[in-house]
Amino acid sequence: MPKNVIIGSIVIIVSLGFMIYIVFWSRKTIENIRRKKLRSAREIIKRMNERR
Amino acid sequence: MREDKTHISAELSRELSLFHITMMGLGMMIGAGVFIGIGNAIYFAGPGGVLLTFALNGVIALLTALSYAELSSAIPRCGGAYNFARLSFGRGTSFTAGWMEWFASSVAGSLYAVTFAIYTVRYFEGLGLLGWLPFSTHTNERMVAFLIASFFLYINYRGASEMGKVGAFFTLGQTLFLIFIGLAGFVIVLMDPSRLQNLTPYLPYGWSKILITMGFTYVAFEGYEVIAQAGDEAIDPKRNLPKAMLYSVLIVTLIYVAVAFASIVSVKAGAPGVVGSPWEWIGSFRERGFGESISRLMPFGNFLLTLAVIFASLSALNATIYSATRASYALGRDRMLPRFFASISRKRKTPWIALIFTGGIVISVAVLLPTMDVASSASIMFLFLFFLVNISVIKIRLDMGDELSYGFIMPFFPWLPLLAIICQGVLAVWLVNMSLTAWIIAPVWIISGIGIYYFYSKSHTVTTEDEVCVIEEEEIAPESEQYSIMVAVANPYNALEMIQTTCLLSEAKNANVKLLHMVPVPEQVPLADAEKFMMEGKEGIVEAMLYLLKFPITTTIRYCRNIARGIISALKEKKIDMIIMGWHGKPRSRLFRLGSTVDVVLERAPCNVVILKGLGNRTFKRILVPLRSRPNSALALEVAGILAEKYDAEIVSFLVNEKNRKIDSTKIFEILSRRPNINRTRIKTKHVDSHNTVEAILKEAQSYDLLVLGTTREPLIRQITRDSVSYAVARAYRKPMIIVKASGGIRSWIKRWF
Repeated sequence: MPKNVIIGSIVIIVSLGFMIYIVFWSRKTIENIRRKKLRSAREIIKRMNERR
Repeated sequence: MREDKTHISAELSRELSLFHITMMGLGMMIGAGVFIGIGNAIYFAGPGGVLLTFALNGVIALLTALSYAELSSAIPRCGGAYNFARLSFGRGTSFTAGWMEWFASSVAGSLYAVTFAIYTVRYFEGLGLLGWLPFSTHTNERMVAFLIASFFLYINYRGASEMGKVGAFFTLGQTLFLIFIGLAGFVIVLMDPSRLQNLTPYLPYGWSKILITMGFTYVAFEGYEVIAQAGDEAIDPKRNLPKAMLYSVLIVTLIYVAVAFASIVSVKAGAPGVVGSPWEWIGSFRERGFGESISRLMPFGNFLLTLAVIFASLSALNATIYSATRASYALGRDRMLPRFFASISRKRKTPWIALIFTGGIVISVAVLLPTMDVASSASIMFLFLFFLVNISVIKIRLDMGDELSYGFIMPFFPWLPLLAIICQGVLAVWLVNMSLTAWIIAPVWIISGIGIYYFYSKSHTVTTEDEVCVIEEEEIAPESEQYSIMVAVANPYNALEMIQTTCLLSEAKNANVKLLHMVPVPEQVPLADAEKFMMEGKEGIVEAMLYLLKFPITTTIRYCRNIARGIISALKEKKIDMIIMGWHGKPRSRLFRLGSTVDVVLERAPCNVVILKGLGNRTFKRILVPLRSRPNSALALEVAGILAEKYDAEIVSFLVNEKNRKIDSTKIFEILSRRPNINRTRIKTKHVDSHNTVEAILKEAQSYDLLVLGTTREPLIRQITRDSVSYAVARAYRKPMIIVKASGGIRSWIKRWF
C-alpha cells in the first residue's frame, strides 16, 4: 500500500480521534464544573490539579 | 397607603434547548462550503487530499470552537467576537472585530447565494428547462444569485429572524440526509471493495496542495460562532452554549469526511460517461463535482441533493444576512459607525439601513467575483476574525479569569489557542496561492476599517461601563524618563507601613512616585456611585503624600470592578518600573497562594514587584536573602542592599543544596551582585544541605530581622495554582518580610501586551 495512503489514513484517524477525545473531555469538564459549582478559572484549575 | 415599589424587568423567554442551539450551529455550518468545496478540493488535492482537508480543518475549527466555548460560558449574554474583543482589548479592537464580522458574514451570504444558484441552475439545465435563455450558464447563475439574495434581504427587512425552533427540524433533515450519503458511501464500498481504488493516487499533487484546499474550504466550518449569540434565549447557557459549539463542530467534521469519502467512491471507474480516473472526472466539474458524484450514488440522488443544497444554502443565507446586518447595526448603535446604521424601520422594526449596506456587499460580491474568490474571501476574513477571538480568550482568562464565572475552560491553555492562531495564520497566508483577489480585498477592508475607526469612530463612540475609570488624578510633577515607582495604597495604615521602604527605594532609584488607590465597586453598585467608597483610600493617599513630597509625585484614585485588574491596567498605562504594595500576611481564600490581589500582581505585572509585610518603622540589622531563581534573587539582593545601607545592616545570602551537590556559591554570587545598589562588602554567603528547602529557610530566618525573598520563576501566560518554595515560606514566616519579583526582557514585553 503506498506510503501516502498509510500516512494519510493515520493522520485522518488521529485527527478525528483527537476531536472526539477533546469533545468528550470537555463535556465531562462542563458537568464537573456544574456539579461542584465552581466559578473562576483559578478555582476550576486548582480543583482539576487536585484531582490529578 | 403603602407605596409598593415593584421593579419589573423584561427578558427573552429561554426556550432553546441544547438540541436547538446545536442545530442552529449545524444549520449555519452546512451551508455551502462543503457542496462547492468537495469538487474543488478533489480537483486541487486529489481523493486523499479532500479527506485530509476536511479532517484537518475540523481540528483547527475545534481549536477555535474551544475558545468560543470558553468565552461564551463566561460571558453568555454578550456573545460574539465584537464583545469578546471589546472586553479584552478595548474599543479599537472591538470595532475591527465587528467590522470584519460584518464583511465575513456578508461574503459568506454571497457564497450561499452562489451555491444555491449553481445547484439550481445545474438541476434545471439537466432537465433541459433553461435552453430558451440566451445567457451562458455562468450568467444564469449570477442572475439567480442576485435574485435569491435580494429576496432574502427583503425577507429580513420584513422581520423574519433566525431559525429558532422550527428551523432546527429543517437542519435535522438536511443533516440526516448528508449522514445518509456518508453511510451510502460505506455501504457501496462493502458491496464493491474495488471502489477503494478510487482513492489512488492518494495525493497526486503532494501534501502542499492540502494547505490551499484547507484555506478555501475553511468557510465550511464557520457558523458555530452564531451559537454565542443565543445566550439570551438558551436554556442553561453556561452549560449548553459550550456543549453545542463543540458538538456541532465534531458532528460536521465527521459528516464532511464521510460525505467526501462517499463522493469519491460513488463513481465506478470506467462507467459510461466517466472520462479518466473517477477523481479526475469529479474534479473536472469543480463546484458541481459533488452533485455529479452523488447523482451516481443513489436513485434520485440528483434531485435529493439539489433539494438538500437548496434548503441548506437558503437557511444559511437567511441566517448570515441577519447576522451580518446585526454586526453593522451593533457598530451603529455604539456610534462606531454613523448613527443611521442603527436606524430601525418604524413599520417593520428592522435595521433597514444596515440591511441595505449589507445587501450591497452580498450582491456585489455574489455577482462580480468568481466562486473561488468568494469562498476564499469569506474564508480569509473568518480566519482573521477567529485569530482575534483566540487572542481574546487568552487575554480575558489572564485579565478577568478570577472575576468571571466559567461554565467551561479549555484544556492545554494557552497552547491550543496559540496553535489555532498559528494554523489559521498559515492557512490565511497559503490562500494567496488560490485567490490573490481575496488577499487584496481582505486587507483593504481591514485597513479601511482601521482608518474609519481613527478618523470617525474613536471620537464618536459611547463609553462602556466595564472600563477602569479615573476619579481623581493630580500630577505635581510632569511625566519624565525617570524611574517610576507606583505605590498601591489601600488605606492610611497600609500607607504608613510602606512609607519608609518607599522613601528608601525612591531615593536609591532617583524615582518619581505615583500613589495609586483603587476603589473596588461591587457589581450591584453603578460605577457612578463609586465616589462613596473612596474616602478611606483618599485619606491613605494624603497620609502617604505628606512623607513623600520630596519626590516628584502623582496621585491617582481609580474605580474598578476588580482591584488587581485595575492595578495591572495602571501599571501598563503609566509604564511603571516598580510597584510597591502591602500584604497582610495570609490569603483569605484557599484559591490563592498569598492573596487575590497580590497573586495576580505577581503573575501579571510587567514591572518589578515589591511586596511588603510588617515592615512599619522598624530598623533591621540582619537581613536574610535566600537565593533561588536568578533575576528575582538579584532584585532581592538589590532591595536588601538599599535597606542595609540605611540601617548599616548585614546581609546574608542563603543557598539550600537539595541534591547534595557542591554549589558554586561564589560564581552565583558574582553574577547576582552585578546589579546596582549592591555593596558586596555587606554580603556574606551561607549554604546548607537539606532535603526540605522550605524548612531550611524558615529555620535560618528565625534569627534575622528581615527576610527578602525572590519569587520562583513562573510560566508566562498561565495562572498558577500549584505552590512553590517561595510562597510556602512567605505564608509560614511571621516576621517582617519583602517579596520581590523582577521584570525584564521578553517576558515583560509580552505581559505589557497581555
